[in-house]
Amino acid sequence: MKNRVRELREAQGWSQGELAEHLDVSRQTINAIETGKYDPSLPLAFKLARLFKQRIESMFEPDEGR
Amino acid sequence: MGRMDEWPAWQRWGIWLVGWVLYLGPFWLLFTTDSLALRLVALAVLCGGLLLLTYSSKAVLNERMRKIDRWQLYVVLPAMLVYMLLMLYVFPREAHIATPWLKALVALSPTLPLIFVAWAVVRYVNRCDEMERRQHLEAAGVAVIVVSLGSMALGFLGAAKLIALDGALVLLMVLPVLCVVYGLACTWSKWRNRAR
Repeated sequence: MKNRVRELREAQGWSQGELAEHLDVSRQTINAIETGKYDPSLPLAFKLARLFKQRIESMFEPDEGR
Repeated sequence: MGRMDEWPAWQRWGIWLVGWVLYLGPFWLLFTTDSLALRLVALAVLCGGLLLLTYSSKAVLNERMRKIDRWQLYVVLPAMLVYMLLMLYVFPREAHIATPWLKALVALSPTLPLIFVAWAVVRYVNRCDEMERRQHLEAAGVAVIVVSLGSMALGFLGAAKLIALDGALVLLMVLPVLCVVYGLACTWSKWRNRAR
């Protein structure tokens, strides 16, 4: 799954640690999501979308190659 | 001072190394000295080392200590201290006890704090985030595979009379080996996903 989490986080001027604190997850979880190593669950994806005031489908896109 | 995970890398790694020294040094002392005072000092230093090691282990992976991490530490640390005291001062007494039920009670006493630690670990994993729970599941799977295959291999070698096995010792080693492999697998997984 491709996502725009890094782009949106950087636009807010947040570090991975700060985003992790907002979402109550570990920093490595944010890193794994941003690098595409881990796809978040629906509840976490909704939390991310709400935090960045985005629609889920505009943040996450299926990676057709995988 | 700020949070440890925000310190420069050399400071975080330096504290981590000091933590290991303060952990392993007293551990070695505990098994080599007979002096009660020295053993008590070693236990106190060991607890300090474990505290430092836990905080710095998080910091070297660029992770902050969360409320659940602190809870885990403050629950597990006293339980491990009780376990060590029982192993050092209560368990050896079973050799001098003749009454079977009392002997069994004394011999089983170190398992009580370990049951408490197991409960704390389950509670901690349930309060971790979703990716961490997956890491714990993978690590537990790796640990089960390694320990069960290792046990089976040892069993085959023992059955073939190629090695002599002490059954009690082998059973005693199951939990520590399981914990070490679980810890290594968890650390490897966290290291791969450490944030930069």
